[in-house]
Amino acid sequence: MKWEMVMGLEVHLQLATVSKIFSSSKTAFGAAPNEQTNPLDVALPGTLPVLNEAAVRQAIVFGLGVGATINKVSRFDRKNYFYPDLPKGYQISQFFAPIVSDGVFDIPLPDGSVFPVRILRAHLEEDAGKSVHDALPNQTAIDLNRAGTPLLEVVTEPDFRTAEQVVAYLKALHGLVTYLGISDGNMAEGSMRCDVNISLRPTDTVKLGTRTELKNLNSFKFIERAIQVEAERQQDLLEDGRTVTQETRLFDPELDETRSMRSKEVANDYRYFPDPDLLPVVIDDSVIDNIRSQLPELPTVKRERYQSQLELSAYDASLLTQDRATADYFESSLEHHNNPKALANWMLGDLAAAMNRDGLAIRDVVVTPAQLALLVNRIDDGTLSSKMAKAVFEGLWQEEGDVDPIIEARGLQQVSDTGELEAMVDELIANSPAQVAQYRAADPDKQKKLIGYFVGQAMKATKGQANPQVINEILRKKL
Amino acid sequence: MAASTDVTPIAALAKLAISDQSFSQVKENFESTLKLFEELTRVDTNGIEPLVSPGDRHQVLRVDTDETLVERAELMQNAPAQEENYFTVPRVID
Repeated sequence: MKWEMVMGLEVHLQLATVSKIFSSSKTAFGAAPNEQTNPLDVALPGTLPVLNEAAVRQAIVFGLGVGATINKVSRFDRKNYFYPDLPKGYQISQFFAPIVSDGVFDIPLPDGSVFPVRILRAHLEEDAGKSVHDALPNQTAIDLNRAGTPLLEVVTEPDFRTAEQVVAYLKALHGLVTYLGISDGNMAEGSMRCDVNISLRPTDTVKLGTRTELKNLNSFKFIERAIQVEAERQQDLLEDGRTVTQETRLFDPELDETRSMRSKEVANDYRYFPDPDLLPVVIDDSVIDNIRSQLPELPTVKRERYQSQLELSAYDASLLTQDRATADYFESSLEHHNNPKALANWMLGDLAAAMNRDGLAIRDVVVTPAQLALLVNRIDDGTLSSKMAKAVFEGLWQEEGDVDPIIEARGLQQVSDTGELEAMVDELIANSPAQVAQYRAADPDKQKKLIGYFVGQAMKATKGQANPQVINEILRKKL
Repeated sequence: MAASTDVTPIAALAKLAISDQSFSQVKENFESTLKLFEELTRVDTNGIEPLVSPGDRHQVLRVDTDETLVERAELMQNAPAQEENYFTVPRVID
């Protein structure tokens, strides 16, 4: 029997706020245990939550970014369960009335087509604390720094059929939220966490099979592998005539298998009810309009514009718009020198190679957009050959100074001074009577080849600094 | 009417240990509470919008700035167990 995979995703995004969703504690990553807590985070009696305006604003920004409905009235509910890193005994979430619903997010696929993913809902909630099992012997250590960190949980319809689609969606989502500036999307630090709901059904059937939920997958590589491994497990069960149990499973990359998380199954009944501590969140149209007017250009729009207005290839456009820092760098350099194709080539060529070699992100690069623009300008105005430009770029990368001083210091200027070059060519012609005679006797086709000798000699005489175009012109005139 | 099997899982979810002696009393209270809610479900609510909260007040929002209200050591002074700045609990393994 042939099987079809059906998957839906739940992604938790940590929002880019300074303070927590319901308290004024810091949200920074990496603080010493429990340093970023206050009486509300540790659930002392008598404390009350007050909603963070920035978290609401960022949820709206996301909703507008995926063309979703921003619900004028949303509410917070309690999700009840007991776990040591959840001191209140409930998580505040939005179960019945989420802030964002019904969006569509268009994902660009490598073949140039677009894969639309339906966003069912996106809701605000607080993160739990962290249980550390290996810090202390025979005890579980609880760090509540993360408790109350604002999360946006983005839930899709079951629209995915392949692991590649899932990864493409996650990469595009990562790009979108970093563009919008609402999350740093850092998977390693837990700012973007993904749960995959996965089931199999015989191809050509409509009814969905029983699903399992794969939890806390924190890299694109693991996600792809976890999906493959879980699909194979379900297929084996179904082909054996057995059934899939609806449960939460963890992927173990070392054993390359998924396994049941039994402890959480017992508490499957969360008994959601409206949180009496929080009033309904009401959002005025004027707030939404105001946020809409401040939205940055979205990656899909940018990609389209790079192709239609700047005449870049689809491939270059997609690479340059993958994250906001790269696009910002490109656009900033473009303001200094309007040669999109050449700037794109430099960014995706020498700059990308140097970043790769030294393990740097675009944010950490010392070569400024203005410097890269000037470098390309110096090629376009004939000062530098592309080979010389590479050397100047290396100089910029090594922080030897600005473009023109490096050209000066490394003696890299192309000689384009016609008078100087003419004198040199005259001398060359006088010293090569045999070659000159051969050239003059040859037919025009042959001459094109023979001129190469003279160009080579001229470049040698000027240590490669002559402008080859100028040399060619002078030679053709004089020979 | 709640069957006796309803009390046990609800108690388990609420982490309540109910002794054999008090079980019938708890069951009786539980059932009378459920009975009251059953009466409520008989009210005709057709065409009536759900009441989200009494009154028409909205959530007040807080400006996103951070502030340390209480130092960590003071905050943790009543914790039953702590070590190396962590709250500690008996080992919980997934």
